[in-house]
Amino acid sequence: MANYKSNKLIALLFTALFITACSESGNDAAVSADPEAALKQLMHEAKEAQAHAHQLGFEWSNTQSILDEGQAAQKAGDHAKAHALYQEAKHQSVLAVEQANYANEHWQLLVPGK
Amino acid sequence: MKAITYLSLALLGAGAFAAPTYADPKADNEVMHEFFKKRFPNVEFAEFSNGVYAFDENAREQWLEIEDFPPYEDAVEHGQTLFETPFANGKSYADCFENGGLNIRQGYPKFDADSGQVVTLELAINECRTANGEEALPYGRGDIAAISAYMATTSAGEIINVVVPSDPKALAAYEAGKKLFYERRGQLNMACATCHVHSAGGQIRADILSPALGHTTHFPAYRFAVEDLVTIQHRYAGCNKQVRAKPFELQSEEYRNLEYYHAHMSNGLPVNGPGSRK
Amino acid sequence: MKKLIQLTTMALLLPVGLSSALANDRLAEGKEISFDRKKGNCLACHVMDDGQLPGYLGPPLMMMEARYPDREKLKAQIADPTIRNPATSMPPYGKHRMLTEDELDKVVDYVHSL
Repeated sequence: MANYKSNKLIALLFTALFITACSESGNDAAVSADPEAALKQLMHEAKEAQAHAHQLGFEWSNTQSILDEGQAAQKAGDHAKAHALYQEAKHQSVLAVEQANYANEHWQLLVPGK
Repeated sequence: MKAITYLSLALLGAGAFAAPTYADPKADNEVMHEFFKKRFPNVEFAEFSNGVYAFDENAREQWLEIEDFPPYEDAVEHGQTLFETPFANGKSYADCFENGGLNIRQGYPKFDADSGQVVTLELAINECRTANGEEALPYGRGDIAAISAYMATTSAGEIINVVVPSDPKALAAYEAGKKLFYERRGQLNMACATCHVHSAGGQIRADILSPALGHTTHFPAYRFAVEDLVTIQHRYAGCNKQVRAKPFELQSEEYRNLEYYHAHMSNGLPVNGPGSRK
Repeated sequence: MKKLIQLTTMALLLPVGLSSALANDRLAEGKEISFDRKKGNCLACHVMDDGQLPGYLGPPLMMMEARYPDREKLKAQIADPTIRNPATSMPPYGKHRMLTEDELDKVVDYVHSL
């Protein structure tokens, strides 16, 4: 058991070293282009989620400004901030869609006499 | 045989569950009016047209003082001038409406069987304009609110009578408006009913939440917060923003259906628009 | 010798004083977030502390430790009050991300101290 654990640890250590070595070996395309592509993908997902919430009539009023801020941050080169904002906008819209589904099922809850 | 009986019973049961609940607007109003009478036992029914001033003495006094010199007076006069000025083609608003457009506010919104849509007074005003070669007015405030407010004054004291005909499309529109009224939306997760039914009369900070019953009787209303005369749908958009929900377009199908349900609720109350409100 | 004792006492007390000062800062921050109209806006509906112009929709926030011996239950209630009461008027501050996790924790600490 202990042996297994230490083996696993060593394997992990090697993997970590390998990854570090790879990233330091100047695979520039993967390192610099990937975050850009990932950010673009995330923004796309956030916008899609927003469109879904909107189509259901449940978009939150602050989602668009969060997306706008994200785009401004991306333009300014602050990728970490842009990432966080896109993530937030996406998260909001997923919640709004969830809210729409809940309302569709349970709207009668607030009808008096029910 | 026994199995078949059980099966059909089960099917019946499932059918009862799945069957759409047909809207019964009249029964809805009985429940709603009863709800508010119980919540405000000292308020005369007709007084619900006065919103929070029906039960809050302090607010009522200030409001009555303001109503001595109504802040909407100029707008109503302006509305009358616009209403009476003929279009370029020589026709006027009076030609578009029954009874020359006077004393008709209490019947709006109406269901139009031809289009299968709810027609609000503001929508009808713009339809009248475009049918006569004039440009549609922007919704929410300004001239459209002024014309609508003037028309409301010609119905002063008339009893609201919004009709939902037994047309499946009319019932569907009413039901859609009702659903919108009770759905929680926005980041704050609130429905119209959260504040204006279940918390009506309650106090948030220095404001008292108005009962939904009687809301539509006094619109367009001069709102001190906006410093302008606004339509009921302008207020819907404002409420939606306050709960951080993206508002629908003014005069969208959603808001027209909402207004249909919302106005029908006040059947039996007198028209007293325009009013002045915080 | 006397000086040594004094120094030792100071050294021993310092962390206590420091941590209670930090705790006070945290409560002050929690209060600020709770009172902020764009954040907690608790005063819209609750009488609490020395807050001016409170609303009365919800219960006054007092004796909170007695009402919520378990801090986590209070946190759950602020994060999503619809779990306990689906018809509640109160917004789900955590679930709907009206407050960040850190802000929520500070608000909970502050409200729990009332």
